[in-house]
Parts: sequence; structure tokens; C-alpha cells
Amino acid sequence: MNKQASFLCDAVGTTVTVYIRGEIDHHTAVSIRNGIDGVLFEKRPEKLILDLSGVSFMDSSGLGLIMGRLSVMKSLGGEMTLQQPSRETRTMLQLAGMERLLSIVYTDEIHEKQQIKAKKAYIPPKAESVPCRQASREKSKTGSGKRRTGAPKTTA
Amino acid sequence: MSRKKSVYNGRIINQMQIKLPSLSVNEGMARATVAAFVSQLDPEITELADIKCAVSEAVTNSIVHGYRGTEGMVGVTVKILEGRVVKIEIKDKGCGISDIRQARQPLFTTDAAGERSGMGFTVMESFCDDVRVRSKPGQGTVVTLYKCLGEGPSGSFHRREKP
Ligand SMILES: Nc1ncnc2c1ncn2[C@@H]1O[C@H](COP(=O)(O)OP(=O)(O)OP(=O)(O)O)[C@@H](O)[C@H]1O
Ligand SMILES: [Mg+2]
Repeated sequence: MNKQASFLCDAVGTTVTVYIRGEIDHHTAVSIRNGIDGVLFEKRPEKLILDLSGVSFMDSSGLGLIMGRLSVMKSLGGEMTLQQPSRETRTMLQLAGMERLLSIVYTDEIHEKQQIKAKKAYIPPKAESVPCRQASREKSKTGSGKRRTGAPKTTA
Repeated sequence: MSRKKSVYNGRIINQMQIKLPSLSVNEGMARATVAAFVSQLDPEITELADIKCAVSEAVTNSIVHGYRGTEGMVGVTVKILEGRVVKIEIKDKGCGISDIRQARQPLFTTDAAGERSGMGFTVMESFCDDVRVRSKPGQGTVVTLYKCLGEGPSGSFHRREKP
């Protein structure tokens, strides 16, 4: 039911790209936030790209998550971009006027599909990638095993 | 978009009720259950997405604000009314809201530390046709969402035929 969220971080040079999959709500946002911040404070990148192409649901908790990461990046003296927001996230981003706070890279339909394909082909991560732990639960030992939608897997 | 208020008092055709403890894992459960029930009306994908999002906002508010630091039950009632109107009630017996008008303002939040955007009510209002809030400090909150669905399968077929 509560399709859990997962994410994959990819660090190249001074840029960290985070691909979020699944549903972003108050429940899943906590672990996504902790996971991303762990990488940000470790790598201290100049740029964070948040890829939302695989997000199938997002409510206002997603806005909080995005704005929170924006302020983390600002505190690190870096910048942040949203990449390819899925249809499911676009209304929410527009409603919040997010484009006034950071740049959003929208691409056309065909391009978007190609990108998603390329991204799927690209997973599992390369050596320099940071495989992030699965973002669905804080207590990963208790029962998350069977529901695991682990980061290396692709979403439908 | 908005129809006459009288459509909100139409005959009840079908209804469903769930009660869930205020655990954050139930936010996804609540919106998925409501979406499954509303699916019998064969709504547009965007209509269903709007409903899911609005329900998620209200249920999350009950869990995060209403029962902040405590536990309680969140009730969700869905009624399908005559004329393809969906009425959804989200109820908690939590702390309540002292100033509803202020709470509904965009960007207003009492939980800035929790990375909240203060956009929950704004989301409900823009994704639904009507949002009503009843609340009393110390007693709880009831949020009622109304969504009027389009013409449905045959209607949408005809709409799609038009250029
Ligand atoms: N069920 C409730 N019980 C008690 N207080 C509530 C309830 N729902 C909302 N509120 C109050 O109304 C305020 C505004 O709610 P709203 O959903 O718009 O924003 P938020 O929950 O603070 O942030 P966001 O929804 O963007 O994460 C909340 O900060 C809270 O003080
Ligand atoms: Mg809220």
C-alpha cells in the first residue's frame, strides 16, 4: 500500500545527484532527508541535483524536504537544482512557486523517456557512486526485508 | 469547478469508514484506501491524484499536529453522493486548532522546525472543490473535503473526442 520510497545518490566531482523513487510523504520524507543529508555533509558538494522523475506521489512534505535541502546546500555554500519532476510532482511544485526558489529542469516528453531509460540502464551504480541505504525505514532490521525496494532496482 | 453548495447535500449512494492509529506509516494506507474506494466512479487519473494528495495532507495533519507527542485514532469517512460528488471527512480527537483562519493561510505553520512548508491547507483547497474545517482547542479537528468529479466514463469519452 504505502509504496515506500528509495533513493540513489551519485557523486561525480563536486556534484551530487540524488534520484528519488516512489512516494514522498511525511512518513518517507524522514529517512530520505537523513540519507541525503548524510551524503551532503560527507561530500560537501558544490551542487545538488534532485531528480524527481521517479516520484509517483508527493504531498506538501515533499515541499518541506526540497526547501530543507535547499537551505542545507545554502549553508554549505552550494546550489541546488530539481531535475525532471514527474507529472505527479509538477502541480505541487507550481502551487508552491518552487521555480522562484530554485531552477527546475523540465524536459520534453521524448527526452524525458530517454533520460529515464538511460538512468535505468545506468543503475547499478558505478564505483565512485555512493550507494545509499534504502530510504524506507529507520529501523531497517525490523521487517523491511520483504518490502525492500532496494536502490539498485528500477521502478516500473 | 465549483458547483452549487446544494450538491454537497445529495443522497448518499455508497460510503466507507476506516479508523487508523496515528502512525505515520498509515498516511499512505489512508490515501490508498480512499483512492481504491473512489475508483468505483471511474475518475480521471488527475482527479484521483488530487484526492490522494488532499487526504494525505489532512491525515498527516492529524498525526503530526493533532496528536503531536501523543497517540490517538484518525477516522476517515468517504461518502459518494448523488451527482458524482465525493465527500471525505478526516477526524481526530487531538489538540485542535485555535485560529482556523490563520491555520489555513498559505505558508502558515506551527512546526517550522519540522521542515513543514505550511502548504497543507492550501493544497487541500486547490485540489478540492470545497474544504471545511471544524475544530476546538483540546477537542479535535474535523476536515471535510468535497470533490466533484467530471462526467465519468462516457462523458470523458466524449470530451476526448473533441479536438
Ligand atoms: N488536525 C490538526 N490538529 C491540530 N492542528 C492542526 C491540524 N491541522 C492543521 N493544524 C494547524 O494548522 C497549521 C497549518 O496546517 P498546514 O497543513 O497548512 O501546514 P503544516 O502542516 O504546518 O505544513 P505542511 O502541511 O506543509 O507540511 C499547522 O501548522 C497546525 O498548527
Ligand atoms: Mg500539513
